[in-house]
Formats: sequence, C-alpha cells, structure tokens
Amino acid sequence: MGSKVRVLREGMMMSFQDRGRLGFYGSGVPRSGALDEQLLRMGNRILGNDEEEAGLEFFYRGPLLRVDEGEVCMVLAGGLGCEVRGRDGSVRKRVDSFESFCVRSGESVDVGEVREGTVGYILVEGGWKLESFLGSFSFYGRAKLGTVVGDILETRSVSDGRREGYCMVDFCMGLRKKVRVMWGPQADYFSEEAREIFATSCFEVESTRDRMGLRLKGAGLESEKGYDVRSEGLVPGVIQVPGSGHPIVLLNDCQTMGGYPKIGTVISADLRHVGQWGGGDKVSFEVVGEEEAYEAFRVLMEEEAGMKVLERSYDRLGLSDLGGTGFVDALSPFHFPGSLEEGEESE
Amino acid sequence: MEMLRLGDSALTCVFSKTEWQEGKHKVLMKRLGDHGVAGGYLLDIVVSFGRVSVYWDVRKKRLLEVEELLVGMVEEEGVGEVLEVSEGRYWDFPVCYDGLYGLDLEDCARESGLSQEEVVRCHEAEEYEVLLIGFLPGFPFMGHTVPSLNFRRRKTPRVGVPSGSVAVAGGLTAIYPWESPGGWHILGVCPVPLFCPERGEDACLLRVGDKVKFRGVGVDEYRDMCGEMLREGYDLEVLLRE
Repeated sequence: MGSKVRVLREGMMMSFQDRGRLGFYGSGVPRSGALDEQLLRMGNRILGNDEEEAGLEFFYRGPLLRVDEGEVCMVLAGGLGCEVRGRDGSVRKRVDSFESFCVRSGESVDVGEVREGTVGYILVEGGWKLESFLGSFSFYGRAKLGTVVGDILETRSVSDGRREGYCMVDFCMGLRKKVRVMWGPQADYFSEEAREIFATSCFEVESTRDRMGLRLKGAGLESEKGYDVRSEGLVPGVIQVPGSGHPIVLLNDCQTMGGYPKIGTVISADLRHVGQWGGGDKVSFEVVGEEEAYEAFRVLMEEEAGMKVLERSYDRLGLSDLGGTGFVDALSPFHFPGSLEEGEESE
Repeated sequence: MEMLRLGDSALTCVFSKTEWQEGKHKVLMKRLGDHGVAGGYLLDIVVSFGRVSVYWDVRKKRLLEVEELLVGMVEEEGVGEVLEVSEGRYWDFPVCYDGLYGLDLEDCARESGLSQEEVVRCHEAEEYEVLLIGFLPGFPFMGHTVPSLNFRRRKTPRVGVPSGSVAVAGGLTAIYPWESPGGWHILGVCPVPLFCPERGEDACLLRVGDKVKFRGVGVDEYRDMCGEMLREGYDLEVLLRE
C-alpha cells in the first residue's frame, strides 16, 4: 500500500509521463512521454528510482498537493520551487528543484510557477501508482490512454523518510532558445532563400503550444514545390511547414504521420529545449550535420552520467556547516561527517 | 529505394512504384520484424503510401549504420515469405452529412462545382479500402474517392477538428477518431468509436484491408447512435456487412 495525495489545486495541463509508448506508431498511437526527459531522469536519480519512472508533468504552474495518508518523499525537477506547509498551513520550509524532501500526512506542498522554461515534474520515491497501457504509463490526452490525473494520486509505497535531503547541485537547466537541427526530408522543397531564412532568422513561439507541438511566427517559408507531400512518418522534433509558411515544431504527442513538407528535424540532444519553449519565446535554428548531432548527444549523455547525487546531511543532523560546500557525495562510502579517511580504519 | 533522413533517430524509405508492386517494402518489414521492433535498437515502423519510416534508439545506433542495414535488408537475395495481408472485413458506417457537422460541405461544393447533395452522394457511393492506420490512434486512411472529391489539404490546418469528423483530401477519405488539429475537408460525422483503450491490444477497430461504406443518417439518428455505441457491451460487429 502506498501513500495518498490529494490535488487541492491543479497544475496546468497535468499528466503522468515516462519515457513514452514505443512500438505502436503502426496503429497511429503517438509516443507521448516526458517533454524534458532529462529532468525526469535526474529527478528519479536523486530519489534512487529507476531513471525512467513516470513523473507528474505540468506547464507553467504546479499544483497544490496534500498528503492524506502515509508519507511521501518527493523531488521537483525543473526551473521552479515549492513551499511545504504544516497541518496548520504555516510554511515549514521552502525547497528548490533537485532536492528530495518528505511530506507527512496532513502536510501540503504548494508548487509555484515555472520560472525557467515551461515544463516541470513532480517525482516520488518508489514511483506513482499508475496503470500501464501498451507498455507505458504516459498519458495521451486525445485518446485518454494511461492514467488520468484525478483528485487523489497514489504512490506505490510509503516512504520511510530516509531518502530526504538528497540533491544534485551541479545540474543546470541550461535551456537553449537556439537549437540544432538537421535538414528535413523535404528541405529541397524550399528555395535557397527560404532555407536561409529558416537557418538564420528568429521566430516567435505562439501561445497555443501544447504537448503535440508549437507554432512559430516569423518570416514565411515559401515552398517551391507546394505544401502537399505524401503522408509519411513523423517524429518528435520534426519541423513541418503548412501552406501558411509558418513552421510547426512537433513534439511528443504529435501525430504519427503527416503530409506537409518537413524542412528540418531538431536533433535528439536538443529536443528537451524545444519542449521547454513557451509562448512569446524568440527562438532560432542552427543547421548541423549528423556527425554533430551524435556528438552533441554523446556529450549530453556524458554530462548526465557525471551528475552526482549528494546528501545534504547538515539538514538532518542540524549542522550548519561542514566546512566546505555543505554537501557530501552520497555515493561515497565516506560521506558521513566524521567518517574515517581511507587508511585510517582501526582494526 | 531512396532514404530520407528524419533527424538522427528516424528515416523514411521511399520506394518506387515498381519496387512497391514487387513487394520490396514487405521484404523490408518482414526483415525488420525478424530483427525485432520495440526491442534492441529498433523502436517503431510506420508504413505509408510508398514509404516505410523506421525509428531507432539514438543511444544505440547511428544513421549511417541504419542506412547500411536497411539497404542490406532490401537488396539481400532470397525474398522468403512476405507479410500476409489480412482478409478484409466489410463495414457499413453511418455518417451524418448535415451542415451542422459537415463544416466544409459548402466549400467542397464550390470547389468541385457540384451541389452539396451531390458531394454527399459522391462520397456515399464508393466503397473504400483501409489503406493504412496512422496519424492518430485508430485513424484510417481510406481510398479512393471519386476524382471530383479530390481536394488539396486546407492551406491552414484547423486547430480543432471535432472527433468523429469524416473528411476528404488528396483522393482519400478518413474519420478522425479524436478531436485534433487537421487539414482535411470535413463532410460529416460518424458515431463509431474507432479506438477504445478498453479493448487492449485490439483497441484499434479497423485493420488495413478492411472495406468501409458510408450510409447517410439524420441528425437525430446520429445523436441516438452516439449514446448507444458508447454503452458498455455494445457490439460494434453489428456494423459488419453480411
């Protein structure tokens, strides 16, 4: 039995998301999954979860949650923070993203606005209790696949509180407004001039964005060969240009097939940044080749692998200073204050 | 076979008419299937007209490796057994062509030079084959409409095409199982739920190769059917033609 969490105020466009539903494009089932997978993975790492465990995703503003039963150890991932309030409603503490904290029965968490980017996540130790459909916990709104966010959310297990105070200090959101793309399958539909505009000018993100994609305003991109191509497979990150000439960047909930010319595709390493774009953002593209795309992905994975989870032990021990940064490496056996240095062990 | 790059994690194989007729795409799909989709590095396959899009895990394979692999699969001798196309079933689907739902009937009539009634009659007259499923869960691409209903997609796609909308474009017709953005021209609405998650692996009602014929119904009849077909235990097989 897990803990029960009540949603007192909804976050915007809340949904549960994991890595997504793979292998069903053939029946027209979109991939879905977290728009910023990296946040999901790093948040889960802090909690000691499987890194692909599902999280509660929201846009712009997080929810107000109250633990009704049990105890929950959670982590926020994104450019945001929260207030933990006691039973009497008074603020017990403020917690930023990438730091685990426990919320006991009767206490509530008020997740604030997303200050950097647009998308944030709430992850819980042991994972949210969800129903899987076609191998994924991701919610796909248009067809209501996966678990709908109701009034009561459940976790798989009750936290024993021991995972509190773990954090990741070297993670930086590092969001990009300029992302790298590879030329798309119909790049040759566009004149030299239109391609130049695409590769060098600035576009503004329209406010109607959702998990399916976002529309960009800017100089129109004129296709020389028309706007009808045979319907063919799409992928999150692909940039299609309908007859209006204004590009649309597709995201995780995008249709599996489409028939507009595709001028470019965002490289895998940069896709999370597009997921974080919001209405009014000024964005642009840099065209790269496949070598650069894979190198960028390798660098991203290497950086990710180097992200360490630390235990912020002074919180629990009531110590104000450990003499250094205040953080210790939780993965090191010598992380506990006063533990013996190597070679000092006594018989 | 030509290959179009779709970023660093997908590509689309484009087959010539001859290659498609020879069944080269089936050979490719069979071999990809043997290779294991949704396991290893291959994540997905999407078949469309004359094209097969292949998706892989960017952590495990690179574009050039996949391109080489696919060329090998198509060119390798010994075609072996190809994918069997399932025996199609015959469906009769009710459609309400009332102007309340047929949002583009007027435009289509104007563009084709037909009256609205004639547009509807043209659409009802044909029997359509499900050519592929995609775009949205359970979304059937069906062909082919008569030439007079062959319209180009709308210049600006609609932000919200209502669910159930029956639409035409590019010589094809389709039913939108969900509300979604879309660029096809809407002629009416169909009450049949095409994709039900409760049916699990059989969530998708239509299969490639099935035949569908549309039958016009009035607004009241359509509304009654909507409620009826969503009732638990309603057997959609009553829509199958004998």
